[in-house]
Amino acid sequence: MTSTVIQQGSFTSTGEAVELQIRSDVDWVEVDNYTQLGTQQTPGRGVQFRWQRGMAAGTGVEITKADGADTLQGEVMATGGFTLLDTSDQTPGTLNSTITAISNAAIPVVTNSGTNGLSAGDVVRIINVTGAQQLGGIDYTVGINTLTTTTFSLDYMAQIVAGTTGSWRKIDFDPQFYPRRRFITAISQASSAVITLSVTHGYTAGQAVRINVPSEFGMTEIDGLVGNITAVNATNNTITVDIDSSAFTAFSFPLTAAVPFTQATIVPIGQTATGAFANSLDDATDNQSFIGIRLGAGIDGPAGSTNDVIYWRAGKSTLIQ
Amino acid sequence: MIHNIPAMLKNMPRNGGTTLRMRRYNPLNTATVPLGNSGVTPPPQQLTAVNIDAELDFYGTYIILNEQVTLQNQDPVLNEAAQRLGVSLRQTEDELTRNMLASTASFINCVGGTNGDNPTEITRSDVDVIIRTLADNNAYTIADNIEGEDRFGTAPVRDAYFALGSTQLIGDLEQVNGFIAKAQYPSQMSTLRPEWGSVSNLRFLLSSIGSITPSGSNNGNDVYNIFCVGMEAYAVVEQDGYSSQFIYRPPIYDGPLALNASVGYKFAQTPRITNDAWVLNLRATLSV
Repeated sequence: MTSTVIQQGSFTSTGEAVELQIRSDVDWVEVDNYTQLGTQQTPGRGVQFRWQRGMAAGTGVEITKADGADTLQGEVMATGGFTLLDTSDQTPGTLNSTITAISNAAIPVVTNSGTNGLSAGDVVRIINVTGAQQLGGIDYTVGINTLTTTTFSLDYMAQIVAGTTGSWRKIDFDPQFYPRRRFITAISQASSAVITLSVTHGYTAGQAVRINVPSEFGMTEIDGLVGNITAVNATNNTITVDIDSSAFTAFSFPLTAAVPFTQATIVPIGQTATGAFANSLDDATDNQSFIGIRLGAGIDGPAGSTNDVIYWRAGKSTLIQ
Repeated sequence: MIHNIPAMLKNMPRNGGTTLRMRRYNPLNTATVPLGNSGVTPPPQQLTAVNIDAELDFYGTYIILNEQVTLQNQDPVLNEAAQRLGVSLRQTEDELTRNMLASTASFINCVGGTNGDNPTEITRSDVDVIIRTLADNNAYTIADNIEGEDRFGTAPVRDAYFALGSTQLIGDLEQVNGFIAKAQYPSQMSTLRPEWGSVSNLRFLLSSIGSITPSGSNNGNDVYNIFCVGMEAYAVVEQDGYSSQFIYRPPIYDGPLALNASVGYKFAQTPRITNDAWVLNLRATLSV
């Protein structure tokens, strides 16, 4: 009862940050980059990493090898280290009042002053953009098509009239319960309607969804209809539903002057009870939140570079009153 | 704690797996054409349905007390701990249902206000839209009407859907045209403790832990989610044979010197919308 819970594990790095789910929570963590401990590189790379509760988010202690040698040296990581995670916390990131423009390209691109610090696939909430008020309060997956320190694409957004100044916040975690309601950015006119969603949706074929399209979006005929998902496309972040929209009014994302209005949404309601998907449980409501720690990636990050083999140990001490 | 008040209680049978499957059958067309006298049998209809699944999750927390705390402290620490754990348990259940509704329910933005945001503050026209939509969807009201009586300052209250929201909405709610405070109901017999009042066919239950989407509006303000609910719109699923458990383990179970006691709770539960057309999230910001 009165002890420290220690957990361990390993993974092979993909070059991306890694989120370890550790239900006991974490007071300290140690990471060995097994691959880099066995080699000499120029420039020298981080081989051991530590973090302990009390250190700031994103920081840690890094032990690196010197260039082309096994000599070890230590340093404090200011960024790219360890960050505690509790995905039930829905607090959005810091307000960045740095948007200077949103383009009218086919895939809109946001230009920001300063450094955005985003990664491809992050989710961002757009706030109060002059000339593009219709985007406000909607979450978007960003940076897959365009990402620099001063630009990021709204990857699944329809073309808009260009906007100017505004703000954004990073949204770190999805809502707690799957399957989640999502914002619609486009619907095709086709025998099987193809619906584009603003954030990576996570739906699967066979799920039944209700389509909510207020009058500001044009395609009112589809409003309130329930469709079954027949296909999903991860590249375009679309779902195809068994609704014939070919004769419907064209879907058109509202202009800035339409604000205030209700956004168009997809709401998962269940699983189709007929056909090949009838026995699937993919639609089951499930609390997907977890506790753990995020490991930053790269040659100086605890999650390492592609193909690095990483071993980790984490501990949590029991608190006694 | 308001979010489980309108919820149906369902049970996952013991040894029934991890996921409860419910099924909702879709309405059939009416049959308004006469059969006629030709003797020809008309075509049948096809019965269709939607499966509604809920995966059970297990939750729990506990505290550890050194034996000297319960031995020497002048407070009844174990009693206090039990009370706080009880509140934590029920509040966890409430927040789970709240968060499920925030994640998965359809929403309508308030647009009748004048605060310049999207959504705006709540107004009577927004309440009317919600009531009309629930009624169009054939949602049953939950609360019966309260008949008018000859009492000064009171007014009859219509049969109503429940609206579950944050206490932060009190100021704006009382400005909505047609608002009737709970104290103005002709009878207090059928009111609930968290009830604040009614507008038209909505009775508002407010809580300090009502749902809020931080920075969710166009202008970056907090969005207040008001879940407007008809009868049997959602359920809370519990595990058969595993209702919430309060667990006390005295120090004798702890190590060779029996130094520490533990006290905690655990339960298995999942909330699930059973008819999405009967629960709508009316999203609002505040007027100031």
